Amino acid sequence: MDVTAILKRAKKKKNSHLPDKADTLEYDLGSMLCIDGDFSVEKQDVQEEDLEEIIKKATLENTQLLLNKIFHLETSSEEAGVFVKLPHPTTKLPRTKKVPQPKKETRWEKFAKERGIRNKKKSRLVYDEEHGDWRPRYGSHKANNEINQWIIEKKDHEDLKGYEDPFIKLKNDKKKRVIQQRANQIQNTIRNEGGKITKSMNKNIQGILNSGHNKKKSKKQIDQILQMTQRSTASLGKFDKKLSGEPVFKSRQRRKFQPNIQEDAGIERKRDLNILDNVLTKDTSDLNLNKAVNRYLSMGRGSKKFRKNNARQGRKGGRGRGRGRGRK
Amino acid sequence: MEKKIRSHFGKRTKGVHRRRYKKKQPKVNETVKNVLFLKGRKTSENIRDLLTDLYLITKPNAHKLTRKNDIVPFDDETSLEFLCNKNDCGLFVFGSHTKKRPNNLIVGRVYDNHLYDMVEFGVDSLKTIHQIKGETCVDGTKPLLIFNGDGFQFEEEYKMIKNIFIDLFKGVVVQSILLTSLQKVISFTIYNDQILVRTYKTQLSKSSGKSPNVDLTDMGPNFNLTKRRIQIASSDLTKTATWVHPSLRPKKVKNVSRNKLGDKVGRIHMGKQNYNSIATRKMKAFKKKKTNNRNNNYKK
Repeated sequence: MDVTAILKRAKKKKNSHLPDKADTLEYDLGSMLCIDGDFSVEKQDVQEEDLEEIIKKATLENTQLLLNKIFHLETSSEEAGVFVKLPHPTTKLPRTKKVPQPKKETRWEKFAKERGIRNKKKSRLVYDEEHGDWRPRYGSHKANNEINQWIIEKKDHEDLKGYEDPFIKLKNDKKKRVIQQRANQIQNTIRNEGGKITKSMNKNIQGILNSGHNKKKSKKQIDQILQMTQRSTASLGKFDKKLSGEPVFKSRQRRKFQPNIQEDAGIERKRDLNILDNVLTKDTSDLNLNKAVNRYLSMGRGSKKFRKNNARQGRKGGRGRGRGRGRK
Repeated sequence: MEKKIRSHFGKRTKGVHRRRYKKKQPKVNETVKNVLFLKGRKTSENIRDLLTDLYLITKPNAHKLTRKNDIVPFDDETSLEFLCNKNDCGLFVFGSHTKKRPNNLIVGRVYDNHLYDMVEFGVDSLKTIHQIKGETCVDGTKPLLIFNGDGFQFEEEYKMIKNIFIDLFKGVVVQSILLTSLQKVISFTIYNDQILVRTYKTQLSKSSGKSPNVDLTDMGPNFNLTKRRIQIASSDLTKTATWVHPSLRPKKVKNVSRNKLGDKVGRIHMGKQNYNSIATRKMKAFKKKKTNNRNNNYKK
């Protein structure tokens, strides 16, 4: 029995990880690829059916060589399995986006770095003893809010003569602080951009100025305020001199109602019979049936009020319309 | 950054919108390059099948647009740039079919919201994953790329094509990889002015050595590409786009080497030594005995 052939086959199988061909491949293990410069197949040398086999064989050998290299890299055993550490890739691939510019250090960051100040993470909620619950650390409903104090103790050293109302003082101080904060913000935006006010900064500065109580009011709101002011005199603004150009607001007419029980029974009788006549003898040929039915069916959808109430829910056309807009 | 978001979006700056904005911001280390799949004015079944299959291969990092687009990339790339920017993709694969250019596939890249480079292929003899019915790999498997043919090493156009294919198929850039996940192999062969693309799945079996024995099974997609038109990036643009941030460059370790036994060897440089006053081991026998010299006169 010729065992040598069997042994040879077995050996080859066991050692197929060592292919016969010489290793002249160019490797880039970081990207897990290899280039075989020695491979070349001429059209005339090969049949169509054999082409697939030739490619597969060449690929197989090259894959084997590539895997040999990869498996000989530095490994690390972890929970998921055995990891191999890939080296830096050598193929130069272009980026998608530009390298980001390093952020400029702000004035505070610079100061903090010098002094070694680190950011301590503080909790969002703080315990409010007065109310006995947890409130946010800052904001209008913050915990231990000084402004909402109901009693303020007078300190002994304070003199009653020039004494100012402490509650009003607290509110005024807060207003001052808000104004100061806004001014600081604007100063910071200008300083961060290098000291000059640019057009793009203007928008941000306007935003800061119009924040809080200075929020920009709509025309409707201003009209309402003006109407209130006009009315806020003892005579409800009837005898006030108006400025040139000051709008006049139509005041609501007082509705007039008939008394519940008429003195003259005849008048009441007449009125009721009139109503009856109108209801019973109304000429139905005046009724536009089509219009009535359509209006009912559309549930008043053409009306302005309906459109206004449902403006947000509706889809605005313009998504994906037009040239070159592929839709997902 | 808060104010920049505001001007970018108008009123929506919190929550999901802020996270999305942050995701789109440029990073120093780019590990993922998303691919955008689109169709032109007219497509053939072949091209559509190929696009689906390529989408399946590049799966987690790919966006597929289903509608047809009135775009001709080689004439006007602005629409493509817009779409790539909107979908946050660095690569696009554009399929179309016309009489002049049947089964047309354009693969291109985008850098800094502008077209970087692109190449146009004609596709034939496509065998999809579905048709081959072989074993498939999990989505997102990083493939081994094999390039057969010396054109990939020496010819400019083939080198550029190789670069694009590496970008398209390489997947996520990682520093270490599980040895059991080396399952996908994509080979590119130059034959008769065509590039034959074949995809296989590996079967790893134990061997006598450290590395396993490999066997390949057909997986798909398999297709042949004929090069049509090509637009390579200028050398200046290449330089800026391939610039690597110093923090990401491989750190050169000097003075460390390994000898044949595998020991780590390095060289230490000592300064000049004064051999007369070296601190050596003291032995009592060599100690100088006190001389009993009463005549010694220390005072001069």
